[in-house]
Amino acid sequence: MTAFPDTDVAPDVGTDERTELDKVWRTIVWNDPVNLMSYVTYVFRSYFGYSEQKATTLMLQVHNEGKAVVSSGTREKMEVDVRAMHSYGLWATLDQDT
Amino acid sequence: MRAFTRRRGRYVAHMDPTERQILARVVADTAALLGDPPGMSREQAPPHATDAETPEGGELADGPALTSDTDAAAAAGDSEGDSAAPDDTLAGSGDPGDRSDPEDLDDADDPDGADHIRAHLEQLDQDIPPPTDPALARLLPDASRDDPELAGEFRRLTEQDLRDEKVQRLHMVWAALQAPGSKLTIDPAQAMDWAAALTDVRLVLSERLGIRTDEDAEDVYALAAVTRQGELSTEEELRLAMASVYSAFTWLQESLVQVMLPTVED
Repeated sequence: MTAFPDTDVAPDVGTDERTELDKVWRTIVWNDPVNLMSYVTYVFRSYFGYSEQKATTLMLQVHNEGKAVVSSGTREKMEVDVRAMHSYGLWATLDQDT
Repeated sequence: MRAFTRRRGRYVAHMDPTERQILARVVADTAALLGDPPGMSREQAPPHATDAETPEGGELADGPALTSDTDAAAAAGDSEGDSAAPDDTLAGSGDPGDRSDPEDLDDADDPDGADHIRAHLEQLDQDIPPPTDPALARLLPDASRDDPELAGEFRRLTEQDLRDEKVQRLHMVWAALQAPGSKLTIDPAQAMDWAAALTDVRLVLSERLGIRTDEDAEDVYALAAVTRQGELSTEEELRLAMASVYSAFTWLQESLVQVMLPTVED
C-alpha cells in the first residue's frame, strides 16, 4: 500500500496538449534577387532590434543559403513578424519547428 | 540624379523634372497594380476584389506603356523646365488634393460607417485567392510554401491591411515627387516608408524584367549601363527603358539605406 504525497498540486496530466501548444513557430526569410543586402540588414536591425553583427549574419545566411530563421515564438507573434516582413517587401513564411 | 546624402539631420537627393516624372509614373503604376492609383478617389479606383480576374490594374501590367511614358515624360520635361505642373502628370487624372481625405467622402455618404463595417466583416469570412499576376503576388506573397490552409488564413486576415499600407506609402512618395524643384528632402521618420515603397516598385519592375536570379539582376544593370548604338526594336527599347528605371530605383534606394544605416540604434 502506498500513500499519495501530501500536496495541493494536482499531477500534470495535460502533457500532450502542452507539448502541442508549446511547439515553437518560426519566421523564415527567403532569398530573392531584388532586395539589397544593406536594406535587408537595415530591416533586421530596425524591426527585430538585432545587433549589427547578428543582422549581418542573418542577411548573409539568407543570401548564401537561400533562407534563414529570423525569429521564433508563438504563432501569433510569428504572424506579426511575417506580416511586417511582407510590408517591407521581404518574402517571409511561418512554419512550426518539428 | 544625385544620390541621398545627410544634410542637417534630413536625407536629401536631387533629380530633374524628367527623372521625377518617370519615377512618379512607375510609383503610380505600382499603386494602381495594388488597386488604388494616386490622384483618384477610392470610388473611382478599380475595386480590389476584382484583382484576381483583372490584374491589369496599372500600366506595368500591360508592359509597353514605359516606352511612350519615357518619351512623353522627356517631352514634358523639356517644355516645362522646373515648373512641372501636377495637373499634367502622367500618373493619373484629377487633382491629387482630391484624395487627401478619402475617409471624409466615405463619411458623407455613410454617416455611421455601417456599410463599411459590414463589407469588412463579410470580407473576413471570405477566402481571398492569391493574386494571379506574379508581380502582385510578389507584393502580397503567401505566408507558407507548403500549407495552403495556413497561407489562405493568413491572407484572409492580413491582405487588405497590407495592401492599404503599401498603397499609402506609394501615394506619399508619389506626392513628394510632384513637388516643384530638383531637391527631394526626406524626414528620417519617413525614411523607412520611402525605402519600403522603393522596394515594392523594384519588386514589380523586376518581375516585369524577368529577374529570377542574382545573375539576371546583374544583366539588367549591365544593360542599363551600356550606351546603345544603332537601331533598337520596340521590344528592346522597352526593356532598355525598364532596365534603366530599375537601375535608377536600385541606386536611389541603396543611397537612402546607406544614410539610414548609421542611425539604427542597438
